[in-house]
Amino acid sequence: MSAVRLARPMVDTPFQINMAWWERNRRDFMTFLRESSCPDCLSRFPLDAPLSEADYIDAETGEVRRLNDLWACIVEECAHAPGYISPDLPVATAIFRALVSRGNAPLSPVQIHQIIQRSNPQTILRVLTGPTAILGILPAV
Amino acid sequence: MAPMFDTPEYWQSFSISGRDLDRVEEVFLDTGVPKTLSELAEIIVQGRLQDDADRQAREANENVRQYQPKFRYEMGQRLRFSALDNAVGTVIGVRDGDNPHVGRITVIRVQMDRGGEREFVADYSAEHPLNVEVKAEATPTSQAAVAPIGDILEQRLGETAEYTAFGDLWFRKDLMPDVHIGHLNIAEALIDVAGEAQPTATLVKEVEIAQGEPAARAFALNYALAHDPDQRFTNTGTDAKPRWALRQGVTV
Repeated sequence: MSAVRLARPMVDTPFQINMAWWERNRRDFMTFLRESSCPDCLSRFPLDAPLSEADYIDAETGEVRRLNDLWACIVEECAHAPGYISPDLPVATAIFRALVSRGNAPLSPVQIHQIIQRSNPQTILRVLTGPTAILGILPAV
Repeated sequence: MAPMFDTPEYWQSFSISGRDLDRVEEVFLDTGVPKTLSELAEIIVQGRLQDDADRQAREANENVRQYQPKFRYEMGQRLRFSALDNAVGTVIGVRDGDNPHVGRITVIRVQMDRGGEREFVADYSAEHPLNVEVKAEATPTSQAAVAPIGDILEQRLGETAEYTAFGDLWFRKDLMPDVHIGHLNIAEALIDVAGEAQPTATLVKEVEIAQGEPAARAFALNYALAHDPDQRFTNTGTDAKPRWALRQGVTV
């Protein structure tokens, strides 16, 4: 039974946005990142503004992830704005924003459910393990 | 080292794991009887304490050090990450950090034992929850952990198709003795003849459910009576001591 669970994602399996998926599928991640930004961060980093990257330190785990200026702004500001993950958003978009707002820290369906305050972990797991990957969100390596 | 249940980060990230559910499944398969949430939570607590003791014994042999951002690490250093469910990894790279807002830092690249590579900050003495020293307690507070784990377990079991509950008792559906319409018809007749509500123990003796331990048969009968498609039965006792009456025409 344990071997089956290790092979099949469960509600406590961590998921992440897989950047290699975006490259392989030739999708523009920055467009989706901009759509996930609040107005304040979008105005600070307009479309034509050059973005630099820096080491972003996870406030809970000490993990370091390379985030560009816009993404760091989302983590530090948009994520704390009321209604950033609105109940009106499609579930897949809400899940994407949950990951973006945590700097792409791996999150399980249980944790995603606690952040987006909608649906339930089993349904979120089904969304993430459908026939095609949703917005490049895959089990964390 | 502080017992796991006494550390704040333990409760911040606690969730029922696949291994916890394996233990729950094993106890049902081994005993064949329903269990209360407290009993199941105690099994999880003891299992995790044993895992933690085993891990400490292994790490004592392997010279694994607990990761804290404020320290410096070297290539080949073995580290344990308490905020990542005690995952262990080996430092395979060290580089200068790059963030103008936090000053000079180092970033270590770690090959995790469970797979994949991750980067972590080092030489980082700023305020961070992992930089706080936790005082060790003399004894683990496992009993205090049972109640909150029971609440989380109840929610998790409720989300799985394999488990069902009657009152405070939980059981696996695939282990429940078969109770069919014939049994329910006999129960109905018994209650009708008696003219008053009957305890489950009396009904179980008479309806002759073929398989299972007595506690399993009682659970299965209670569950079936409560979920009768024709809704003939009502529990006039408690979930712990049910007394079954017919919904119409029988005095309690």
